[in-house]
Amino acid sequence: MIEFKHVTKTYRSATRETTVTALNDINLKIDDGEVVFLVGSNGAGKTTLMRLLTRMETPTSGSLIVNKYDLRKIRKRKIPEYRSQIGMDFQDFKLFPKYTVYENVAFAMRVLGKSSKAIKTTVPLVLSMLDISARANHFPMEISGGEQQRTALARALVNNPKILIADEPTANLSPSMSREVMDLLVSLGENGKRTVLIITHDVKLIQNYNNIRVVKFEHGKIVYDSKNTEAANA
Amino acid sequence: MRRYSFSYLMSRSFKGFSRNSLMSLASILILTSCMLVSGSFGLIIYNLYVNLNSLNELNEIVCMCNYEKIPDEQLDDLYNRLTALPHVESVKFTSREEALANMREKYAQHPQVLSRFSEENNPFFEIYTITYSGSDQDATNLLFTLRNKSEFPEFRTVEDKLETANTLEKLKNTILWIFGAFMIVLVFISIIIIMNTVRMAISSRSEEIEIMRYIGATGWFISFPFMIESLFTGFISAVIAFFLQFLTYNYLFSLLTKNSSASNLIQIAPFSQLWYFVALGFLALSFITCYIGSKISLSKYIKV
Repeated sequence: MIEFKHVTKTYRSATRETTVTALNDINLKIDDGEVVFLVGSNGAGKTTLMRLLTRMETPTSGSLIVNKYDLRKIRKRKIPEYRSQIGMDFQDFKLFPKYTVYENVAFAMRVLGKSSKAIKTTVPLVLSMLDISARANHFPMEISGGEQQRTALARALVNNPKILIADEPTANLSPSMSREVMDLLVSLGENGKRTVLIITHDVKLIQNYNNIRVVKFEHGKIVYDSKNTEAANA
Repeated sequence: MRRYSFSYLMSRSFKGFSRNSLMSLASILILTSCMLVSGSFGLIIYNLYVNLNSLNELNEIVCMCNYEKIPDEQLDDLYNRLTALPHVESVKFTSREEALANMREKYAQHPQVLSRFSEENNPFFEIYTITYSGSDQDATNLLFTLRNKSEFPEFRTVEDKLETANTLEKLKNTILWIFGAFMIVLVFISIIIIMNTVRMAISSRSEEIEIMRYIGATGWFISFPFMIESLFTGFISAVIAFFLQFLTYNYLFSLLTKNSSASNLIQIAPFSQLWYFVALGFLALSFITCYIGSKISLSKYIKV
């Protein structure tokens, strides 16, 4: 479970003279196995939320508890263990250009110290699940944007995370590919075994998914939290 | 506990080394220069030290006897009294005849210098050469006793080299201090160089590090390749510096040993006697500087 209790995050400006409030007194509870769209325009606080969830940042005030980890009090040496339970899918994919599709996905397992045997068994399975087995030996520059996104997703999923966070997953994709990727992301959380958080500003795209929770941010505050997607678009 | 594949981590380290090759090369050149300078200075100091230490006669006292010839039975008594004194290590007696013979041997090429002297007309005296051990105070006390006419009326003069020995001791200490200060400066420079190399390597791989952090890499997993990279840089520098040191030292050694007057004046240890000190010194220097330099940079620039 993810629970934000009165979370505020402020940043000092570059000149250190003023402070900017990225998130302002956020209260949000997301149950295990939920699929949630986190929407809002640029500067609404979505990326800050993602950075807080991955413990790249700590809240300025309030408490943030994820799967029993209190992210304000978590010990430094426990942070990697916590992060290994989260799969991150980045807006710009962040694939290593000198690694093949297979090596990019395997890298995530190597980082967690998984054995070569486990890597050889798991990576082909995940690649096949995401329908990119045929591209396993290609480099990122040799495959399409949608395939790159699938590779990035495969890397996020290969360690079987409890939470999957997709940060603007359709930002660099064509409309048809966007729909395809979004369908895939939603399906990954449909069995209720994994929490899927999809950060996007593309409200038109999420109109296609009814009965999925939408949390809308504006100026660091939650202005909408419901399954009614049309209201979020309002 | 995560078990990382050692070969995988090592391969990442060497890939990083080759990817950052230009900066690595610059670091190797600077570290090699630092080691070569410190090694050369160290070897000079070592040889200087050995030469200064070889001046054994500095802890000697030369006691010249009176003009009147001392009867043989008194000579034995005097010898026994001298050996019984505290801190006396050895007593060497040189008779008048031996002193004259020694001089004749020394000036064999110029026999006319001593031609008018004979055993009957001998200008030398009995000499007792005393070697002592102990502190400066012990030496002063011994001199005081020997110069005391009521205890040793047989001696006309008692000469020591205490002042020269003290000056040389001070010189040795000064040289060691200068060497120490010099080494500290060189180690400091080397650490800065390594810090900078690691910082550059980190910045060139910042995105990779960011992804690793998101995935859940431990600080150790992220830092290990950088540490190995810098230790490898240090190792290569040490190896190159060792061979350059070997070549330059041997060249200078052969130059000085060919020149007979120089080789009589100063004693130079061959490299075969010193190579392990040089090798160990370079390895230790490279390990210490690279470890400290990379540790500082890693803790500063890599956040978990």
